[in-house]
Amino acid sequence: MTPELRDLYQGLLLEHNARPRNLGPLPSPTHEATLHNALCGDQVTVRLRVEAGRVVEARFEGEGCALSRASASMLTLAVAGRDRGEIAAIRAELSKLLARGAEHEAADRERLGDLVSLEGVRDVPSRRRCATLPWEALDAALGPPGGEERAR
Amino acid sequence: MLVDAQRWRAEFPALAQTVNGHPLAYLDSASTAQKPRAVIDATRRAYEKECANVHRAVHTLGGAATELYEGVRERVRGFLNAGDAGEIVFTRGATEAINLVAWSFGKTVVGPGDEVLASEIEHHSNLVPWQMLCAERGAKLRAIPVDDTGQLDLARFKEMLSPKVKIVAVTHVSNALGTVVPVEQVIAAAQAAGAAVVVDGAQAVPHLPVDVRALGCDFYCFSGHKLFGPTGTGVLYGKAERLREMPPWQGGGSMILSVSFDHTVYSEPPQRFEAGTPNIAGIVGLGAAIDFVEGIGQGAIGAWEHELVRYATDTLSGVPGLRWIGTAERKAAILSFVLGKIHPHDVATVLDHEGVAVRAGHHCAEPAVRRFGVGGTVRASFALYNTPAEVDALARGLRRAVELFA
Repeated sequence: MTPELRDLYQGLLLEHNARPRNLGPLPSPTHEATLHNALCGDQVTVRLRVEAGRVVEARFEGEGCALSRASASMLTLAVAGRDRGEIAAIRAELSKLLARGAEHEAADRERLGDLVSLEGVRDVPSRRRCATLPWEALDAALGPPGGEERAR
Repeated sequence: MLVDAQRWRAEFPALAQTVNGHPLAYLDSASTAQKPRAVIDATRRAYEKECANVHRAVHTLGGAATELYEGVRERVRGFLNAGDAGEIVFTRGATEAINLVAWSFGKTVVGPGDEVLASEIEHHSNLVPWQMLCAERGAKLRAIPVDDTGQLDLARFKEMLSPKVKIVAVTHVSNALGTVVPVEQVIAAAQAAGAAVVVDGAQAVPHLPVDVRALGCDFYCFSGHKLFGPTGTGVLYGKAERLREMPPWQGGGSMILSVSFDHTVYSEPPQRFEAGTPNIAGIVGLGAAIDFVEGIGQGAIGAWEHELVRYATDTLSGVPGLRWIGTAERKAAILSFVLGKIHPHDVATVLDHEGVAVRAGHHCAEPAVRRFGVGGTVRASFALYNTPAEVDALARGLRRAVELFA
């Protein structure tokens, strides 16, 4: 195995791909969104149950590669129990992690936890969107920050 | 045979590079083929020497450029065995050629309640323009089904024919599956039922000899860049009697005889369909590409590709979890497959790390891929410059992917 490939497909990521968490339908979600990646035809649906401003449950479904599947799986764990502000903070750190240069170095790895294993897509521009697609679906499901909670 | 492939290969500068620390194994020629030195040189020369506009200038360079450009039209005529160079229209690719037919010819013959038939394995470029035309004309686009091997179901196709069917659009070789479609039979049946036939030859011309007069199709098109020529070049062949009746599609310079604010007289074909300054240097390069292919001979190219595909089929069949998508009896040098449950894009990324370039996804032929119950495939496509060593690199990469995602 070439080292670069291991940087992209890290053990934790492969493990989430093989055994994704929270994969499947979510009965009576309060928020949901489906996004497509026109480049590859992949799609992901993120469903949330939000109570008193906090995500109490997150699940996903879709058709996607290892990167998008693992990213979605980790997303469901990362957002559970968190409010919008906390989710926005994680999102911001993830953006730093996937950026190049100084911004990348400044990412708060502790806050990101398992999501650090997505780091490798930073160096593979053609696959970057695979990892970000579930997060874009999360944004779409939650609606604009500070806006009214969007009913399903 | 292998000696010849190595000699042909040496003509392609881009193939001599390493990618991610490995020698490049370019198995994506169905997307775009690499360019031989002769094409690159001819294109450069068209800018360095005979650089002038065509069909306009009185000066010497203008005359030289026009002669080169029209010379390629004659060479394309010979390449397709068309009856007259006036039946050859230059476009920027097969996509533009099909759009031209849809919006010029299609718009005049397809009316409300009429039907256009396109096969289930068409590239989006031979599907979406017809969908757009049908939506505008109140007509219906219907899919000609394929069987489980990826070959057209000719019996079902013949049942679909009726006086309502005005156009049949069919590929000569499927870009997603490699199927060689028996277009002779499609053309004969469609024309007997009164429909015009548009053949997408983008994946055919790099692999097999094409004779449009023997085929008898109304329209045939291909892209220069898949035939080792420059990007942004393409050809539409149209039967003279068809082209003569067709209104212009785009208006502008070159396509007119005289213009006033009250009235414009259009040129005869093919100029009627070539508005504006064309891709002159690109077309000159396309001429060099045709010379290159004819110099080797399509028979020799086909024979080598056949050997490669046989070797690849044998070699890859041993890779655990590999399932072929598209197993028609007649196939061109395109192999499509899935690898267990591993997503095609992950397979392609692993291969890329090994220097192996393949295409992954739906190959701009989403219905064709969905027909086989998958969202995408891995596609390895071969050209005259590929070697068995590259097939071995592909097999090695696929085994790596299986290990990684086990």
